[in-house]
Amino acid sequence: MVNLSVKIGHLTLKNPVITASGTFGYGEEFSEIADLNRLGAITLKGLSLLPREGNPPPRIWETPCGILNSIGLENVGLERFLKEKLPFIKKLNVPVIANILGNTVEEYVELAKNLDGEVEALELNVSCPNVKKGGIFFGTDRFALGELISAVKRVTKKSLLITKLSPQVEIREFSRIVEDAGSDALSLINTVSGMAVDIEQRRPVFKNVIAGLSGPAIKPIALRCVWEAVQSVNIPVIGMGGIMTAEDCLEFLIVGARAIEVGTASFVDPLTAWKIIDGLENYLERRGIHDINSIIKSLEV
Amino acid sequence: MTFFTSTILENTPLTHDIFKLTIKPHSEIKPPLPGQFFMLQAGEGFDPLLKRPFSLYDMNGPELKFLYRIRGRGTAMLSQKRPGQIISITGPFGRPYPEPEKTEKVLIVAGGMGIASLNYLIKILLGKGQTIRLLYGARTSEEIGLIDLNPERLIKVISTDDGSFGEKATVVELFENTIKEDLPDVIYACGPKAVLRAVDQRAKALGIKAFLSVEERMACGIGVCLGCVIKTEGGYRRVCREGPIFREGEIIW
Repeated sequence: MVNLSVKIGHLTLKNPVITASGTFGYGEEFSEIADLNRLGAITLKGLSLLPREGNPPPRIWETPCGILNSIGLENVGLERFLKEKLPFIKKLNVPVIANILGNTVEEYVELAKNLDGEVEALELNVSCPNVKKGGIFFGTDRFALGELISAVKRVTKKSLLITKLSPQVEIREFSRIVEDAGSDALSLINTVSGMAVDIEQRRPVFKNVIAGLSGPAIKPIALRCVWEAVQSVNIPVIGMGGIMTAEDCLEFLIVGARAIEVGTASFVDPLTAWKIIDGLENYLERRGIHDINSIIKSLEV
Repeated sequence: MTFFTSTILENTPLTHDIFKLTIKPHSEIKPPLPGQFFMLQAGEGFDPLLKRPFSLYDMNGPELKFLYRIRGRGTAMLSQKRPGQIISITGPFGRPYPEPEKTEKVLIVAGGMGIASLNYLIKILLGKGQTIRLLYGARTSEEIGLIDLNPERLIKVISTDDGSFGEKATVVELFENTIKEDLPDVIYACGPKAVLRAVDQRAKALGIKAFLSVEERMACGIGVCLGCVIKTEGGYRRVCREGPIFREGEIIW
């Protein structure tokens, strides 16, 4: 038997495999497919105080080894979430991470107050490229980011506080801002800004022009960002970006991620997260390693 | 099982750009219903990354059959696959076409590749003793063989864009002419947006029940990416989950 469990702050995960926000709904769809309780944790679709309609279609565009998306954080809003989604989630025997976003510090704080203790962790979304206001403003402004995290931290007493960064900032500096402001953990990367053009109409594919790139195309960027983050801070780092296989996951762990998130891969094969857990076990057994923690941050440069 | 691998039994061209793909799943799958779809891997590895949605065209025992036109890189790659090769698939997904009452007069409107989704419905309904009126608009006579037109109780009017078979008309023109003479109780339609919109608007105006099968770019097929939404009276709805079948008056075109 090998040990796959890892610790993120005060949270113990059965294994380091987490599903990424926006690729897993609120868990209901996947519960029809596989046993959610086997996962390390699940991250829910980004949640805002008020419901959001999301962006007009088209919302996705395939690119070489990747997808551009412009979903625009369509979600049910806090009130319906608490009434309709949370009861199902609370029945699960798996740590749940709520991804939250707002246009103002007050909105983030209100969300955190309502969700603190209801879910195991909060992931501050300050890095979505697909919404005009809020979100990424905080993730790219040094002062705003620090103030936001401090304000949310003050009302987050029971849940773990994770901050999710964009790859489009100076990672070393922003990681330190996140740590100094009191975030318990750091997750990265959100999607990479990109665009696509309809050459017949000579118009952007997306109404917002800019969209977010994900998938294996961004994995090398994500790995580099995780590498820079683990060099800069002591809080646990959760890595993500283009992870499709257990081998991809191992690269992130070796670089120093304490856990990883599976996103776009779940669209291609909904069982990816479960297959990665199996793959990690196989790797450890094959290499005669008893504890996954002994490979985390084992990169020799 | 929602995710499964299958062996390709045949992948043959029926016209210069339309292929029929027959596969045999390696494991037992949830029995699909007419109007549901599967997501098929088009290439190898992660390029292209996403699977492609295809409606079920026919079933023969455990064998699943799909009909597709080469439209882009994904379908071009799919057409290169050979019998014996393994393909990974997810599904069945989406809400099926609801069945009509035995006594209801059924009109089916198929525009172009819309026939792929309606073929299996026709087969099932004929098997249950239903009489069906089919309006089928194809591009050319080449495409007439995509569906078995021989069954009794299948009353059909066929048109082609170039007049090489049947009337030279669009399926929308056939539809407009048909409902002038004889109103159905329920309409099933699949095809290009222009066809669905015309059927939708007429059905709504006449107060006739209609089930429209729509298509959108899709990433996951299971309802989590929110990528395939269309605008409806009730807000954005997922084609993969609340669809692909929508009612008359529901969609905002």
